[in-house]
Amino acid sequence: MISALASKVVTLFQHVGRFVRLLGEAFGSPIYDGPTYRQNLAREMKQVGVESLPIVAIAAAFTGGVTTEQTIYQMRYPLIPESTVGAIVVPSVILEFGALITAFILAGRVSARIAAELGSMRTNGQIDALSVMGISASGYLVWPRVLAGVITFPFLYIVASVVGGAAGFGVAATSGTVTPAEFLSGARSFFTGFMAVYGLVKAVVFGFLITAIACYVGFYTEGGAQGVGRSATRAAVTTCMFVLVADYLLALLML
Amino acid sequence: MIEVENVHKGFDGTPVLEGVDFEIDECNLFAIVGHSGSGKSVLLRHLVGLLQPDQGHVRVGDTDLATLSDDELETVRTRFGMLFQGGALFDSMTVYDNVSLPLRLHTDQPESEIEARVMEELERVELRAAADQTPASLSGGQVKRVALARAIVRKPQYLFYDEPSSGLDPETSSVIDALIKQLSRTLCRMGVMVTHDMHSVLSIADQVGFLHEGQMRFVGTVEELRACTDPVLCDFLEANAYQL
Ligand SMILES: Nc1ncnc2c1ncn2[C@@H]1O[C@H](COP(=O)(O)OP(=O)(O)OP(=O)(O)O)[C@@H](O)[C@H]1O
Ligand SMILES: [Mg+2]
Repeated sequence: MISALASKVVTLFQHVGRFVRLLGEAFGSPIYDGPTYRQNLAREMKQVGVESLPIVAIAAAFTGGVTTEQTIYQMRYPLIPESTVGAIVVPSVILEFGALITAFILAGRVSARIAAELGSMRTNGQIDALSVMGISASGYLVWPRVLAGVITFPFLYIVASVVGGAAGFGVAATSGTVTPAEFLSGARSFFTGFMAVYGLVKAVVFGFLITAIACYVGFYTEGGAQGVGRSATRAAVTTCMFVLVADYLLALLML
Repeated sequence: MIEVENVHKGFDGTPVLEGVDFEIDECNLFAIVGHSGSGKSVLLRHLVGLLQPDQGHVRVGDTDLATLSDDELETVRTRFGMLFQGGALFDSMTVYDNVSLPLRLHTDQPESEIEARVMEELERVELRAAADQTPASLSGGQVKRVALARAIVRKPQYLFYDEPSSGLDPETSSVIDALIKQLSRTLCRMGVMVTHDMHSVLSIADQVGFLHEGQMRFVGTVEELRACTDPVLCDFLEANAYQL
């Protein structure tokens, strides 16, 4: 039992070591020729950012709506002022749901895709081919993907927060329980600039974790088509776990 | 000059290479043959530094690959070209972008020069017309030819081929053989070729190494191979004779 646990811990540290080494290589390698590199970055930003926008917006809208609905449900006690709905919904979206919902969607969409892509490049020799060409495979493949995640995630987060807040507002306004003015005054009285900063810091951290972990898992894929499938699942699950852990740690550190 | 000295390599305790020794001279085309699973691909991967020996040395020119840092290895590899067994083309890129990639990432040549080089090599493999296609739309033989164009576009000093003609029809494989021969004879590039195809070994190789039970059981010229005296080697040749 204890020895099994110990070997798990050792494996975890080995993974962390290789992860750090891969990223070190990726960021340490020179940024190659402008156009090719910029093309890769642009393509990744499109796939991570632009193509995720609709689904992120839809998920954020539902989350904002449901949060409002549930808050109104808990408002049945007469002593609580109606503006509390806005005061709860908007900060929860900005502090928590905006980033977390976006992260979960990207964990499924983006990290699984990245892991499968790099995994199949590994299994059919493309990563070796890059190495033999004298091209740093990590610099060429990992760095644009991680950069794309770190750059685009904050934008997705902003969209998710705005859409989620707006959906909350819409649900509140049509509920008959809260007036639009009450909702907004509640939201305003509780909103601080720090919340936005906190949300953006989370967004950058999540954007990094989702793409970097996916690259790591994909880059070291072993064994054929099955391995590629395994890597895709593993990347999605692992990024979700690490996003939750990071979410908690950031709350401890910053709030 | 490539020198392989007493190379040992095993995976998870199972030995694959157990003291491999041989040398390859400049301008020579060296063929590595052997039974399936004898470690030919593993050996080839040592020559390009994708694998490091557990023991022993691989020297290319005067440099021992094991002593190089990642950056130095990258520099040495700019003189390498390798044709991978499955081609290993990048499927998100067109044929043109695949072949131009090594040039783009390593030189400051203007686009017009890059284009001229790429088209020259595509012409050589008779695939100029496919420049804008993606690898997914090519046949297996075409993929191999594009991969060959990509391997030689930087005019590498050392060329490595893993099964260049496996899975190709005889006509295409003799086109590839002719290209490989031309590269080593006319342009004096050193070539190392892993292959099952005894026909191409006998028609284009200068030297042959027979990898057997983790060692080079035979190293010699094609003539010496034909005049085989070692029963193990003769059996191997006989078993592959249907390909002659
Ligand atoms: N990365 C690896 N991890 C574990 N074992 C490996 C690895 N690469 C090769 N092997 C093992 O090494 C042995 C030799 O493999 P190799 O691919 O070199 O054979 P080969 O001579 O090229 O065979 P073939 O002619 O079928 O291509 C095999 O038993 C293989 O399972
Ligand atoms: Mg092989």
